[in-house]
Amino acid sequence: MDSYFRERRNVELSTLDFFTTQINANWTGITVVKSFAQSYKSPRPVVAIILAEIESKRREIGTTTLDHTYLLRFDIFAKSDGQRQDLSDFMLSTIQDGWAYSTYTKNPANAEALIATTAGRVNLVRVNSDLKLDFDEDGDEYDKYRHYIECTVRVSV
Amino acid sequence: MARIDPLKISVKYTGTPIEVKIKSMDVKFIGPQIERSLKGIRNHVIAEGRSYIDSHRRRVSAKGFQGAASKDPRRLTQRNNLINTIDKLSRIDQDKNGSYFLSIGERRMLDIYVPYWYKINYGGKIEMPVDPKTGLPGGVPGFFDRGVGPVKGGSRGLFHYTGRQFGGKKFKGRSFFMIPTKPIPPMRYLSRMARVFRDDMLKLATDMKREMTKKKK
Repeated sequence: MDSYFRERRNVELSTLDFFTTQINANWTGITVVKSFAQSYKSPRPVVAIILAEIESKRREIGTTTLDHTYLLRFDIFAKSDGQRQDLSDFMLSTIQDGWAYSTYTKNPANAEALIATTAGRVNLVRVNSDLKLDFDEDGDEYDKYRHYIECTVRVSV
Repeated sequence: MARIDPLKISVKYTGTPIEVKIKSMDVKFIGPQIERSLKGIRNHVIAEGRSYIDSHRRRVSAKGFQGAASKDPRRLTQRNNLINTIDKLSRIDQDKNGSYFLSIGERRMLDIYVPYWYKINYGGKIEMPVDPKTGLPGGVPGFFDRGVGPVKGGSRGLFHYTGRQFGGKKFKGRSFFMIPTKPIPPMRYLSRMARVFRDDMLKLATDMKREMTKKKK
């Protein structure tokens, strides 16, 4: 076992790092979390970024190499419908260009810090969903302005 | 809209996005073969959905629940209600031009028969109506099974009950106000079904393309 984290963990950390930086640079007061349940522990606006599923298929006939694609889910909890539209548009336009893929390892000097080394890119394969969630009268106030983006990505190193 | 030439297969999502209404494929390729293939895809998508929902259940279902509760017809019918309803609402149709349509699910009908389908798929908090007397969240009416104690899933901390019994004859004194403290986690079964649907459609397009090439030779 090498000292670096494995690819799927690196994808999640790279994605969270990238979007946290982007959101903080362009917006104020938005919380980024990495699980659905955590979203409800912070006041809106909140963006939950979740690495949901990994699909592994043979890269080509005759080899044992696997080709991994990652399913990412972005749950946006906005404070107003306008903010939902702006934020979802911002997220989508940020997703479309892909982002840096880094390998992470623990910092020997500080157990709580990680050292990131850029090692490639996370590229968008396709956007599976981009839609407003409408709970009608069944929804809680917190879920009133929700948006859902789901996309498939792949790492190129 | 995705188009794969030269077979003129177009995948068209009508009305609302595939996540909301998994629907609908317009195949401008006439023949019994395509109908058979679409039936196969429909059955595969439903089977995958059924398996996915079963494996992502958060609560023990009525089956296997011992005692009088297992004879409660309401609980027994709940077991596979969601996927059974989606199954019933899925069909293959042919329009006047001979195009075949595969429709899976129909929001209007799902809202009637399984109104919780949306929240189970996308997750969310349960709305808490305000008690007009106190101005505080009033809780959601619910009851423990036959009044014999919390259902198995209750021990996971998903529900807390306030002890304020209410109900009258309808609930036979078994009902309480419950205060859900955690959101319902999203199951995303529609996303799973949509991906199976897309993969199967691409495979069908490839198979048809191969067959057309063979015929040309």
